[in-house]
Amino acid sequence: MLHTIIENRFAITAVILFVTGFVNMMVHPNLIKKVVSFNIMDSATFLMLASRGMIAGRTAAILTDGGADPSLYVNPIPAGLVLTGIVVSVSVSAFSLALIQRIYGVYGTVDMRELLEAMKKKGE
Amino acid sequence: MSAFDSFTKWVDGEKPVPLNTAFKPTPAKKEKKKPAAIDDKKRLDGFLKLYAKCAVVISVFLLIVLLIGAVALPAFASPGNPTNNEVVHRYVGSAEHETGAENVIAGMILNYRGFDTFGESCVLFLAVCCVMLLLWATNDKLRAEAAGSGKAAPRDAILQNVTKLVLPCILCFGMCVLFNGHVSPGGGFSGGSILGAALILFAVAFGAEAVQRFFTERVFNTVRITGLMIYALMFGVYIYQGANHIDSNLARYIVLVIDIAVGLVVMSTMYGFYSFYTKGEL
Repeated sequence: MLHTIIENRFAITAVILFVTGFVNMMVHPNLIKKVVSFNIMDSATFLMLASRGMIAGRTAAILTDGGADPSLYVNPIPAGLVLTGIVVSVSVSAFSLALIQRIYGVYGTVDMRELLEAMKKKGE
Repeated sequence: MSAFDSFTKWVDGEKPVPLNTAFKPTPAKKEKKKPAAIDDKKRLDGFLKLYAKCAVVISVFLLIVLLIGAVALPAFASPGNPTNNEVVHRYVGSAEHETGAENVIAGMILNYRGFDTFGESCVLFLAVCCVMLLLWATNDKLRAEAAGSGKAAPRDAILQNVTKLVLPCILCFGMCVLFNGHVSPGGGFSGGSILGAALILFAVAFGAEAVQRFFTERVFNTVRITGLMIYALMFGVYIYQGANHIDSNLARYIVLVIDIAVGLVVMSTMYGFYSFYTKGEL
């Protein structure tokens, strides 16, 4: 059991990070903190993906002098996928932060509960 | 007549819709004397307590399921993993003479998976469009407010001098990463972010007016649209020239040009985010 845990330490760390982000996203009433938790979840996914591409004793997939021998390099595919993920994560964070800034401009708060009351007041 | 019969008749078109589903106002219950607001508040509190409990339960459940999955994964870093399949051999083995890029990842994301990266660039483009749409200071009052909050900070002599010293290095490094993306670590995304960071540093040290002398809204729009169009054009050329069977020297130039296009898009996007967040316009 301990052996498997040590062997899959990156996957387990990723799971713990992911769940941390998930709990925070659900429980925290502050919208900014929700975005932060969202980013933690993103990072957990990237850690998971990147660790899957690792192969012990090999180097990054940049063909320098070793030639094109696939047994010398790590798996390049997860790196490409993580790159895509990072770009999407940055875009989504920017968009949600812009939304939150607008919400703050209109209602003067980023707390979900206060926001609910402020919206009710504004509706009346 | 049963409900089913009336329904079939209605389907056949013989009879108008049986309107027995119409809303009937239920007889008003004897109203309690409690004010509604307090009742609502209580219900909301109860809901929030239940919500927190449910959230914890769901998260613990998720944690257990994911941990079981993580422990059952194949061993970390072993070459026999199912992820290291024939695709990797194909990419690493033939990336150099098919895409002309020594950096397999650059060759992979710009040629084999070129459409995906094009989509990524479009996502960035759309993100900056959305931020623009949301944060553009529409009226003069908002604009004055935003400008006031941005300009209030006094210019810092230390920051300015350090920027003068460091900025050329950052620019050179960014260019180096951008132009050597196909032979060394780097590429359009990282190089573009470094150049964008250099622009942001310049704007922080010398004020947004200094950047506006050469990076106006017009230039911003031109740069990001041109970047996307160069990408689409060069990828089209790559596809029509025979995709994987293209001459490796030509492929190398195409990778370089696409990298630069991506870098331009990323650079303008990064600076656009900063600019719209700080002062609501470019």
